[in-house]
Amino acid sequence: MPAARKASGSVVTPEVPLEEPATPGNGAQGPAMLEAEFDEEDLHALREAVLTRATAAGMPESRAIEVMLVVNELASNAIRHGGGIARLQIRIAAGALHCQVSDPGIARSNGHPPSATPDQRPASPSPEPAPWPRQPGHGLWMVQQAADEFTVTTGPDGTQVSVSFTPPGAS
Amino acid sequence: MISTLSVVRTGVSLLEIVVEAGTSGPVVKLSGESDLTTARQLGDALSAQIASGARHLTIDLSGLRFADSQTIRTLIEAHGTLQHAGGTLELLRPQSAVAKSLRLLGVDQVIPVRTKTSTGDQPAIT
Repeated sequence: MPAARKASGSVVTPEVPLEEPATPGNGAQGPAMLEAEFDEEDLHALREAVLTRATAAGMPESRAIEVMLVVNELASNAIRHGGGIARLQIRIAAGALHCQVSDPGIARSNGHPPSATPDQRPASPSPEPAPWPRQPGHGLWMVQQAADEFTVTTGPDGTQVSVSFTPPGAS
Repeated sequence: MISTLSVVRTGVSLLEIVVEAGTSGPVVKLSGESDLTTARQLGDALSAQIASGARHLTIDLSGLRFADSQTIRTLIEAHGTLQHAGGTLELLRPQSAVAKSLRLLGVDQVIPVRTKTSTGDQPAIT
């Protein structure tokens, strides 16, 4: 795990990794910046919390807004398709901001029922049909435009969507 | 530790919609934020304008802090309906998060976006 470094200014350069906050964590897999349950009435507060964490992690404003937009999109999908309550976790690892949205509900995957075994599908520009339509104007399009990595895991316990973001200019 | 995100739930809509008469048609001014909880409110307001005969709608976004993809799809639908009827829909002065949303969704290429309100204003290239 990279050592926490104090930022020397408000500008994030490609060589400076994201700051890891000095908050006590559960110790299991490193500290989570945030872990919260939410329903649709919480989306406003969720957006603010995400924007705050992304900014605290050293993302420039434009990038922090993209993180907020993407996480709101995933959170909204989780509420719509997952039974009304979902969970968000944000952490920093390996120089990237990782956000995971999970819901316990029925996963929508081309209308098929959830599979008996967990199915991990990394997102890729393959011709295989995606769980949500990929076209301009749709939320998934935006996620793929803005996130550096995007993974969907579905199973009998619901759906987990993980996205990660690096600061602009980072390799 | 699982955090609670919202301490206070007011039950008041995040989105305020005010309609005023403009030079070419109604100006629908959106203020606050538009997300999953306000989608129907926005859709109903635009449908009501179109149903009452409006053919040239201006959506003033200057007071809107946030718009999700569903909000923007609602705007796209209204734009399509109006275009089909020989009318227009125009977006006015999107602010940073909304402007970014429009760009990321590719919508700034579909719906005209204007950034100035004074006479002699220019169509925006965002």
